[in-house]
Amino acid sequence: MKWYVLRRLGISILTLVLSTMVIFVAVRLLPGDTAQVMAGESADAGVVAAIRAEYGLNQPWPVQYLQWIGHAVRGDLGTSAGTGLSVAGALAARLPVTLELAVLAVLIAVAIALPLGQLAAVHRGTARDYLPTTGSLIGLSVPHFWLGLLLILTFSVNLGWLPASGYVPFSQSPVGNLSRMIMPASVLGIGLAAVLMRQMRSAMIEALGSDYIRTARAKGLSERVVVGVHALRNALTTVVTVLGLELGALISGVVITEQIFVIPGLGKMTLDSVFSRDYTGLQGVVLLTATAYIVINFLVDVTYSLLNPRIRVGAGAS
Amino acid sequence: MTPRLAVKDLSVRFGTDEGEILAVDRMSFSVEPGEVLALVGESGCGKSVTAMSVLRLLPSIASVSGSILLDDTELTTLSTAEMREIRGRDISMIFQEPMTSLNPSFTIGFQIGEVLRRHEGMSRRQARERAIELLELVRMPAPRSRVDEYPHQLSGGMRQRVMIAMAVACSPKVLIADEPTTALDVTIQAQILDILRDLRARVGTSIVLITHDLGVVADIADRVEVMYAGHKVESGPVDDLFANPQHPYTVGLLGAVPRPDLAGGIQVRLQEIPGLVPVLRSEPEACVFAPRCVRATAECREAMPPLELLQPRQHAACFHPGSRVADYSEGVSA
Repeated sequence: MKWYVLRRLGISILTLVLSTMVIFVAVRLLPGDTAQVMAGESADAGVVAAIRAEYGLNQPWPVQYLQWIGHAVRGDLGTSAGTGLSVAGALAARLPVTLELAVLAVLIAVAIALPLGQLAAVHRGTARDYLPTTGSLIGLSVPHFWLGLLLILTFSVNLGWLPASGYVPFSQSPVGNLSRMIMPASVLGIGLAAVLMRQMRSAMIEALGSDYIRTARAKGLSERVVVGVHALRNALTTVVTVLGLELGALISGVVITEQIFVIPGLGKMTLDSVFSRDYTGLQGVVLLTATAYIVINFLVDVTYSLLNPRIRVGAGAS
Repeated sequence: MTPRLAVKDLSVRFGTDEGEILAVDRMSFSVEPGEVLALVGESGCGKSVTAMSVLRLLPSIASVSGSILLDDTELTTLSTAEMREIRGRDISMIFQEPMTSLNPSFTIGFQIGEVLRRHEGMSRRQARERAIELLELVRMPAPRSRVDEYPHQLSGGMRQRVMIAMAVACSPKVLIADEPTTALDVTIQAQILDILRDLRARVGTSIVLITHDLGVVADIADRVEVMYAGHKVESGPVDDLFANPQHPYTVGLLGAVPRPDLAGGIQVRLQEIPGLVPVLRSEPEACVFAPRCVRATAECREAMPPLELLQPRQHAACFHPGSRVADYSEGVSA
């Protein structure tokens, strides 16, 4: 177990280093000139050159990269060209917002997908299978922006139950926070639930067809234990992996949803930085997203090994 | 003596997309307390289906008729909940595939203990201690450390020991062993059979042994039922049946086993039975074995012969019984 975790940790760090390089180059391949944007359209060439020198933009890329990394490891991600504020500070303010959104979305997805996937698998080929399966197909097909607008129309415009947009910190007003987060979290959660439910269904069907399920029944165990303990534990190993990958995708996939519901999270910051050619801001937010993705994958691998003893116990020997 | 387990006129049909399949047709057998009964036949003869129907573990596409008595309890009419009380406590089962029959996600101690917690109301701690004793009973090396291991850490033979420990945890009245040694190598086979013999002597468990391995039958069984295409074709005490087989299928099965003890140094060619076990769709209107039988005559193609008492304790379903060796080299009528 210890070696397995250490090996996964090493791979994660390597991946992170490689991704910083990709981020750095990709941001610089965007059309447009930061110094020009900062100075303004009609600025004097001398002013643009001065800004370029001040932000180190006239240095070769390897030097710029090392400077960026050197500062980044000390927690300094530079100053946003768009807002003039510290990028790290902006990220610190926005990360909790996006994290809350993602966690709520996952909770909604798990609450819908696991019971429905299990139900569909146990009653395979009946109405209790077809209904959730068809529902998940709809959930997969509906675009996030459309579902978001539909929810706003229904619950804010027509029924007037929920505020249409905006953000209130949870610490300030829990009710205000949740009433604004519930719709965007549902939009993300429903899409995720559709994917998870199908994974859960097929993993459960596979598990229920195994010889060890026959053994469990031959022991006289109730169907509740056969399905809810023996089959579920094996099905979860698959589902946890998918959930982790989807959670990573969720952190970077909140761009559209945050835009629709005007939520000041990482997704909105990404979009704003791209529009204002804010290299430092964009680098920072993409780096954070990538880091989150890598950390989540690492945690998923560790969780997976906890659920699956073949990985946990066998790793030292094999 | 009243039999421990009495199966009467058991028929099992499967509804499939290609129509109905008759897997077992009016099969009857019984096992006395402490007796080892072997169900013998090729793959696809209905042996495992028979065993699974006793525990009522067949999938829902199967329809089962007939009577299954455990002592005085009719199992076929019990509710699902009542049947669950029987499974694992009064009748337990060992399966053919020790590699896949244990749950990979739980320790073997948990899986053995589960039976005890379910049927004996033990606590987790008590069940774990009893699981260690049971592992000792099935001669698992180092049971105290093995109890916390997972199935993938054990060899095939050790896993089958775990399956047996699980099956005998509640000292069942009947143990159904479906090809318990098939997946194991020969030395392990002998050890597993020793354990089963030992249990029979110690607990008085009746054993229904399903196998196609006549060596195993000769080693451990008291009586034999030979099955072919869902039918019982011959039955009798193991010594009589091996010495004096009556049904040509039994004769053929015995001819396919190497018997160095009988050959006396002379090379004897092993006999095979050409052809495959047929799949029946309805009750047969001819002897089920006729297409592969060298003795088959017009009579055999008109009706399924009934089981008749041919020797003092031996039944066979054949119009031309006898122990002479069938010569398959002269061509089969099929």
